Amino acid sequence: MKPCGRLVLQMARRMGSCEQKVSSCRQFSSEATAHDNIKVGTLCEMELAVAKQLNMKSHLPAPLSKQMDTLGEIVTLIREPIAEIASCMRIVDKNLPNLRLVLWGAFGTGKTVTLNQAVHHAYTNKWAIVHLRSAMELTRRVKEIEMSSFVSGRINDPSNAVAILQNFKQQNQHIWKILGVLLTEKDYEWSKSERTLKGKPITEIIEMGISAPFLASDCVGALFRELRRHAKDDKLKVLVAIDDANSLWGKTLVKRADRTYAPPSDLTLVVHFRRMISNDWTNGCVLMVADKKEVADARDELGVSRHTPLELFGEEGFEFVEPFVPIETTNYTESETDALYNYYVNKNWLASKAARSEEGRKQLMHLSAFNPYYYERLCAFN
Amino acid sequence: MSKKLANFAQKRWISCSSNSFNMYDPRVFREPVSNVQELRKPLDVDDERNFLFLKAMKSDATPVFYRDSVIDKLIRVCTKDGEKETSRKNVLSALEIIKRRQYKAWTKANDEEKKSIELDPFVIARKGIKNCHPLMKLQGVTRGGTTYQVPFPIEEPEAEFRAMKMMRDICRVRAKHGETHFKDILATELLAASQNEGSTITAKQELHKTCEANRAYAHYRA
Repeated sequence: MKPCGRLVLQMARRMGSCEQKVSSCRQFSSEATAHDNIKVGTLCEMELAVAKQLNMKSHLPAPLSKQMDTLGEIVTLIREPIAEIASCMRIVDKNLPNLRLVLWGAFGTGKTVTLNQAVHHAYTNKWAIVHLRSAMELTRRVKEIEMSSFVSGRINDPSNAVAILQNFKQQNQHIWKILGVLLTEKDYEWSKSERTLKGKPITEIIEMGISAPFLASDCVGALFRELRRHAKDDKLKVLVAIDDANSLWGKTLVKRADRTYAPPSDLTLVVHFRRMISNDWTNGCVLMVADKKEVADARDELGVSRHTPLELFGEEGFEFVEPFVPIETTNYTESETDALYNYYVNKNWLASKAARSEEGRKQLMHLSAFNPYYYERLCAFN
Repeated sequence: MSKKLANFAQKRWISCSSNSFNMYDPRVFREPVSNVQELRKPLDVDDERNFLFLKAMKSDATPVFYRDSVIDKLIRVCTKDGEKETSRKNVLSALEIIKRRQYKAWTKANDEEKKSIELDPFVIARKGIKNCHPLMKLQGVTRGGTTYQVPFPIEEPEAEFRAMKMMRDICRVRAKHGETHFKDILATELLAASQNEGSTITAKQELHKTCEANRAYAHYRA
């Protein structure tokens, strides 16, 4: 294991029983007050205004997004993974290299939800947030490409780059003034006519990229470089949250001029995100999700692929990403299902009489096999 | 005797509807128990099921708490090309959509109206199907070369089937070009039918009108 990784792991183990900082959420347990720590096993509500700013509607999984629309609130369970992430984020320091966490687990156990809870936690603690909805969008949902003028052979993706910049702008409104104070370190010559001079606020890079899509990919790279630099100088802490991060080393559907598929290392946005993951900057936390979407094949009926980080990142990806702290998401326990069940009953979401009976409560747990996704699906039509 | 007849009928393409042939030998197999409470009770010592086999349980007879005969029948009616899982997904999604729409209306309503809004999608679906039950059916009777559409009386199970079939056909026509999904259209239809509105109710009323118009042909009922 690399020496910096050993140091990070030692720090992580040392603070094992560290108490977590409270996020601004309404607790659902009667004992917790505003000054108590987050209790694992309770439900936590995210305010709608905050959720709107963090663009939760598009970042949460589809069923939860619909629940937000119908019930008018986002209430999620606080489980062990988010408690671990919160305590890991506490030890992020300007002297330590960035702390890499990989969320892994079976289907429907809460990887994306935990990622969004962590983004919310970063928001309340006034961190800068770089949130990518899915790395698969960069590799497989590329509508139009442009060859890069900055590095030959690299492929730019204007629409995704603009989307990333707009998302960054929307999610970091809470520290926009702080970002306006941070200055660029050098002259950026985007093209023959456009340039951003040294000493200008980095928000100008974002505005430049949003207004000119053909420059947006380079603007993303410059923005990330400036964020890393300012994090090292202890001006701000950065949370990099990438869903489906293993796709950064996966399959691409981008065709080059000679009709072969480009490897992900040829795409500028993938390169920029890989640099954000790499170990050479400090005062940050990189939270990645290893998702099976990348390797899942609907036509392969016999094969059963594993959901471990080594299997999903592949050899190259795993070597790049390690050392990291693996955080496993698991199925519900009986007390967690009870908490969620009581919430649904109080909210009148479980409408049928059979679902509200004791028999219904037990059957819901067991029919869903304690899987959070299938539990929510079963409660949806009952 | 019935086994030989069935074999002969199969070879000679003769319709044989008197005694339906079942792969399960009736001397050896019994029906499975679908009720959870009964399952938990121990069997009587001299119950014949101690010595016999049980038939395999069908996928829509499992003892889950949300078992509903009307919804199961609707799933079967909407099944196409034997893809019951797709049909089940569609119908249960339609129930979810009904619940979401009713829930949204419920949150906006004041306290008086809240009592009248029904949130249970199973209750709404049952009521919708019940409102679509036709009271008579039209059957073709040929007399002297002409086929007359004669009104006949109808029993509950068949009325239920015809209601579901009418609704399913209307929804399939509307979902044909793929812009709206079958589940959304089915949800709208079930909700409207529970209020006695919608295309299926209109189709039922048209059927009743035709039956009334053809009441003179009732004499042709054999």
